[in-house]
Amino acid sequence: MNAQPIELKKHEVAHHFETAEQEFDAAKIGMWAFIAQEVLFFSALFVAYAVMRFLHPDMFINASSMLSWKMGLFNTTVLITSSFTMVMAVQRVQVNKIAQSINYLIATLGLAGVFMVVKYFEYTSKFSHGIFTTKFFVAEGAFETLPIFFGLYFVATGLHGLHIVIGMGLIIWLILRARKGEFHSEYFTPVEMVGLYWHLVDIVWIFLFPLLYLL
Amino acid sequence: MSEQNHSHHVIPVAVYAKTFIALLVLTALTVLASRVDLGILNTPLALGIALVKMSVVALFFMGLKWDKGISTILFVGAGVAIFIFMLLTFADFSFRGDISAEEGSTFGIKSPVKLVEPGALHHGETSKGSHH
Repeated sequence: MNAQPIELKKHEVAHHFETAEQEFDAAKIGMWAFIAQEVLFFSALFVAYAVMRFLHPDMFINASSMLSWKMGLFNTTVLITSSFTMVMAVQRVQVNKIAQSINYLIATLGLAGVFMVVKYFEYTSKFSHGIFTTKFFVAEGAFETLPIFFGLYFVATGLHGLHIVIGMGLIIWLILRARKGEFHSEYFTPVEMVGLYWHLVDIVWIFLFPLLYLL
Repeated sequence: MSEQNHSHHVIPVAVYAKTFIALLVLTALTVLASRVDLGILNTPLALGIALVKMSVVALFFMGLKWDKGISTILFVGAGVAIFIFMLLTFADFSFRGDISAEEGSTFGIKSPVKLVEPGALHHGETSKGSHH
């Protein structure tokens, strides 16, 4: 995309680290601690889902049939593909193919955008039928407990969508820095860490898809 | 530049490509498994496939397979915490009916749902196959 080759910049190890390796390892432990925190954050929603499904099994089956599993499947495929393009962006930067890495980052960003557009159409189709969260629910339905399912649906997919949007911002930041030549085989910590975050967002969706759309 | 940053070796593209294909196959399997009515087994099967997919992503895309043990400890530790979370929550409300006379009531919350017969309307897919 750039006519001129990107000029790579030397990375200065922060003064409180002995070596670049120590710096990288510290960042990685911090990132995994954050990922563990994210898992726990989403776990509250999964426990709420398990409890509510246990109490209202028939309503959950009815409610999940109101969601389009085809859209869910499409978005699952989009996210898995974006995880692949993300891991390739990390791999390419490790072998100093910076331009290729940037292209993979742009592909990841585009796929994230596709995911959000599909999500937008899913939400608006639900809103147009009067399906909102909890007390704002005004649709017709077979169960008076339906707002419980859709409360979980909107909060879980909404928080997941928020993570996608934050990830898109982080990927844009990576693209801008990569263009300046700040990432290369000697220093790619931010690319690797955003990659880990992106895969976590994928993992959350791997559980949300069957629980909300299929079961 | 420091040469000490080379402790992590670069993973071949083929590994990531195979991981990607495996995830697509597992996704197809998730959908196919949900179209067959296995009764009570549908939920454990769907969760089982999701756990396998999660492990594939964590091991290969997130590199836990080649990473230092501390990363796996943090990740699996979060999983153990969820297990305890589930266990204690279910232990709590599973036995609530034994002491509360309010069991099954809606606690005065007026439902906003306009009730209709089941199956009278479909906002999403028209047939789910397995659940009817």
